[in-house]
Amino acid sequence: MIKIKSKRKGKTQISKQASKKQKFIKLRKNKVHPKKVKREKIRNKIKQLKRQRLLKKKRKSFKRTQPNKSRKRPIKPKKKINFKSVSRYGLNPNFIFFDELRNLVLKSSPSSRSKMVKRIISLGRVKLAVVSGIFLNLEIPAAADLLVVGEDIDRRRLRSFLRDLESEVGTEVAFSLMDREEFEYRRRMFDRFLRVLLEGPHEVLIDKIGL
Amino acid sequence: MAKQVLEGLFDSKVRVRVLRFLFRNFPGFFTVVAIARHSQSSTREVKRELARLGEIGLVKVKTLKVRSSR
Repeated sequence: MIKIKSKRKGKTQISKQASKKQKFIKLRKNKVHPKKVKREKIRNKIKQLKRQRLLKKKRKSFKRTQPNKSRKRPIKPKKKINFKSVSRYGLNPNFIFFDELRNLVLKSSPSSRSKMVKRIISLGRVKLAVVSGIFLNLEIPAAADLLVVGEDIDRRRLRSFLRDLESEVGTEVAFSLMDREEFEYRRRMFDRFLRVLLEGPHEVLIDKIGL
Repeated sequence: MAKQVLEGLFDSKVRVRVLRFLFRNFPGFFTVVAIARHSQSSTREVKRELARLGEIGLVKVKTLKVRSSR
């Protein structure tokens, strides 16, 4: 019983509120500025005039054509800024065996030396081959890493040999090639390049001249 | 002819070459393509080796966003 009562009370309250709202809306609707005319009145007037054929309806109103026009315009493509992610790889100096590995990897083994000698001999009539710089694991870059003296050297073989050597070593190899005449001349002249190379740390691979 | 010691030790020619290249130019960071070109091996092999070396923590990766022209 109590519940029903409460429900009824609630309903009545709601209806009261609703009626208040409606009243408020009505008040607002009636509040039209005296000089302004209601829309409905205008519509009714227009209908009357149409019936009397004083007014005509035109379908193409300004508002309708506008969106069509904008559609006809070619859509400008937005300038997109493309970002490309590039990953680069390098060594982590905090690796546990970093120094040990470096010594291991950069040490040029005697077997690679003998391989090098074989390939250099196959280039042509080689009289002298001297190695320095990278091949001796020197920190300071030498004047040349590899000096070859000889005649009739196959350029194409030389190029492929150098490419292989560089891939094996890991960096560019400073290479110089001269014939015997030039070498002797330079030696007699105490050429700076040869002196630096032959007086500094170096290793002779092939020697048919008798240094 | 004696087999290459390091290649036998690391059981991969590419890995030795990649390591040698990276150790030679130590503080440098390089793209996969650059490393492959210098070590004369395919990018796929180099990528695989780099991934393996990255797992141990020897190789680090730096990823940069570069504005591409297209």
